[in-house]
Amino acid sequence: MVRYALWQLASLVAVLVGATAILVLLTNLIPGDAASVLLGSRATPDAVAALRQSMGLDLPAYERVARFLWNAAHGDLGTDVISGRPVTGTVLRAIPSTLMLAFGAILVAIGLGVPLGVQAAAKPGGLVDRSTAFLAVGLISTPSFVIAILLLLVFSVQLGWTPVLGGGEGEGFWSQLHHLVLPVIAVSFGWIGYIARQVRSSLLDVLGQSYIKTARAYGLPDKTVLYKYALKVAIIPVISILGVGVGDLIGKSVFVETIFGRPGLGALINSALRDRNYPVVQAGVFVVVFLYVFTNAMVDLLYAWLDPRIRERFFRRGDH
Amino acid sequence: MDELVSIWANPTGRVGLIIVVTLSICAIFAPILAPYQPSAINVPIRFSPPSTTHWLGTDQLGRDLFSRVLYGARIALGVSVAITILALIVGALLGIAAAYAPPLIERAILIVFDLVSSYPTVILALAFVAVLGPGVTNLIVVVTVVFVPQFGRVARAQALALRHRSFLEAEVILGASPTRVLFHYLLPNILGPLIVLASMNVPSVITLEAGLSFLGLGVRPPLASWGSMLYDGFINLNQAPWPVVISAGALSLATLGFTLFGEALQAAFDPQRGGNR
Amino acid sequence: MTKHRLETVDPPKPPAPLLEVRDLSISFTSKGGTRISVLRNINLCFLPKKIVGIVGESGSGKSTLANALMGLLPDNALKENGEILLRGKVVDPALLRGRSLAMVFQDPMSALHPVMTIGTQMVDAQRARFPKHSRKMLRQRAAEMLKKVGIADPENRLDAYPYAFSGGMRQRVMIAMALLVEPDLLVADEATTALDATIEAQIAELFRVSRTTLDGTVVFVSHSLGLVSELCDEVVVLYAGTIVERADVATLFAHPKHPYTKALIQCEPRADDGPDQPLVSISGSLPDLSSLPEGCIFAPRCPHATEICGQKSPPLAERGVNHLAACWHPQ
Repeated sequence: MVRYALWQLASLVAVLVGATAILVLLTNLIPGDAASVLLGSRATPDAVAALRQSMGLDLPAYERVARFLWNAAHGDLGTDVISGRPVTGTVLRAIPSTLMLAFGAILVAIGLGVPLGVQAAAKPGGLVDRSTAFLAVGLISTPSFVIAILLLLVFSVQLGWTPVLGGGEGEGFWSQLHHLVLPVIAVSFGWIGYIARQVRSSLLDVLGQSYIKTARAYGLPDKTVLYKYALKVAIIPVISILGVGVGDLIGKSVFVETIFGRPGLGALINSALRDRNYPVVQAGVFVVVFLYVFTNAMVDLLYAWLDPRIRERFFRRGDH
Repeated sequence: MDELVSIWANPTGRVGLIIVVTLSICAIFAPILAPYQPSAINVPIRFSPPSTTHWLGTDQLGRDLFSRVLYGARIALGVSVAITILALIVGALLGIAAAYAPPLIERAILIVFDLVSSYPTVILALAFVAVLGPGVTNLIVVVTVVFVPQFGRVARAQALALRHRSFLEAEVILGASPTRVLFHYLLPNILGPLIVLASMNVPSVITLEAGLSFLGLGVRPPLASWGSMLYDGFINLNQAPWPVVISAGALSLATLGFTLFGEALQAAFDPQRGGNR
Repeated sequence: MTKHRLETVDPPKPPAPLLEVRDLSISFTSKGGTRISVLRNINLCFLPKKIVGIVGESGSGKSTLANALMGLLPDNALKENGEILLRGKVVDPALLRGRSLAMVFQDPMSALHPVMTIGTQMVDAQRARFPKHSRKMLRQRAAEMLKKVGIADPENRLDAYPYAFSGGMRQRVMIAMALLVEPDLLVADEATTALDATIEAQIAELFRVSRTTLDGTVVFVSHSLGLVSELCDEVVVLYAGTIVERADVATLFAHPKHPYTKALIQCEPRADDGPDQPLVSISGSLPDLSSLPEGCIFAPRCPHATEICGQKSPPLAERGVNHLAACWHPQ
């Protein structure tokens, strides 16, 4: 297990370096002078020189990437174009709000999706199964920002049940929770349907296996067979989806935070884009990628821990 | 074309097909079907609800929503289909190249795929827009890049599987040129799964285009994208709910229709997997 | 000083059957709605401490019979008729699984849960039978039984996962599990078919030895006549869902009465066959189980069939001492 974890760590670092390289070198796509284009209307000679210096635009490619990573490891993610102050603080302060949203959405998606999927698999063709299948398609396909706005319209504007704006910062736990309700629902909507479907198909596969027959042959009660024997195996492929889910959720947070006026990484990147504050955009994207790659690696580890066959297969083959 | 027949036979597939065809007709024939010019401003009647003169009401500048929805279909479908086809072609070429190229080049292509995939889709799109700026052409480039890896991987897998089939080797022995082998034999066999993947991806492309336009980073006014219409309605939400509801409805209908169609198409091509709903 | 008393001794009574199957008929409903008759009028008696072999080709219904005995029939199975009795009382086998009934399956590679230790699975298997025992006690029993079936270092092996065991060893684990619940009926459904020849012999030996530990009956379902002839006390021959012959093993192989049994025995290639010996096969194929013909089920393929064979179905009748055959013209 430890060996596998170390291998995953090495992989993580490699991917991070590669992704950062793409990010840092994006500016090479800009025709002409990158610094002045990025600054736009704020492109005074001083500002241009300052930006070129802080972003190392004159350096060769690999040096730029190495410099960025070195600085990032030391907590320096760039300099704000407008305020001239370090970006790191701004970005780090935006993380908790987005994480709360993502975490809440995952909890809701699993909390609702898994039981629905289990019920659908336990009685295929039954009421839960058919209605879940029907809803799942609708839930999955509709864009989350569409759902977010509609929810806002119905529950905040028309009914006044939930607050319209903000994350409820500084107002205490319950208020923050209250502000989280609609955004979490909007973001998790598609995932509930998706997880329910995955759980259902995975569980149906498992229920057809020989070892389930063995469990039933020894008189184990149906509930035990379903949860202890079947779900334990069926849930494993679903877990690997969670890694992708986090990335997807963070992406959706860009819209949802903007729509609900919440602070967070998504809102930060978006507003920085509008303000033409490129270092903030770059830093924000970097943090997002870091979180995404990290989460995927954690999920892979969890996957291997839960299913000993993965570890065994990995080391037997000797390749990745 | 018997795939189309089985899609029609499938109840949800039928719904999807009807929606797709209807929206396509709206998009293609928008200039004929639209009662008003989509950019015709008429401030006195702004925010009016659906009526006999304006079937879906008007937006914050008094523009007819029905006409804007029709023209919006042009953007949504036109741009999305263009992007999907582009991503398919680029992905297919890269994928086939990866399958036949020496290991070093193959590794390089695969690494690029992996790195692009290590970004959440929206975030990558935002990063590109930050550098390239907003606008339809940039939008097309950005979203295409985001979707290329998926097509590339599928194309590569298919090409690898076919590579060892004897009929290809026979053709080469008989003196067929590489281009002929590529276009006449390889592509037709790879195209199937790629087309299925394309149809499954169209809803995501529509969503991404609408999302970027919503943020003001995609289609610019006066062009009417459903995404920017949604934004216009959103900032005026307390004035009137109609613009939001109409554009939300249009987007949901499009994504639903293409999703149902895509799933039915997948079931038609691969009955074994399609049954697992 | 010992007292000798002349006691009246009753003549030895034939031992009471432990498990009985009376007139069992089962059909499957296919997706299209057609009814396929898989088992017809099955009558069986199982005595304790005996090993009964059930032989037949694929499609004979032997697996369905095994599943029916365990109450493990699929949802689309319909019991048309008949009952199963345990010690004279009609029972629903589904309620007795893990208590009076235990089963060993064909493929040991997939019969064990991949993500749980052997120990957990063996403890769980005993819970239906010994609900009051503690986990420690059940684990202890499991370790002892593992030793009995020939697995070394049982205490440590209990904490291993199935992937660490070979096919033969996994099957030993499965047999251990079955023996642990001390069943009245142990059904082995093609338990050696998926194993290599040498391992097959070892596992068969294990079943033979299990007679000392087990008070119940072992039902050994197989298509291998050779194995059955060596292992079993009594043999039942199934063809297309009916019992065509039933006898003690020696009698059946020495004097088979039903043409099908005769043909089956001839079909088995023997070790002392010369290289030029032609392989024997039975002409024709299994009947269509959704629309059965009148008369004897084997008649279309039988070289000795006459008119009556095509008209009336022969009953399973006594054709010798403890020897039943369903044929109008027993050989």
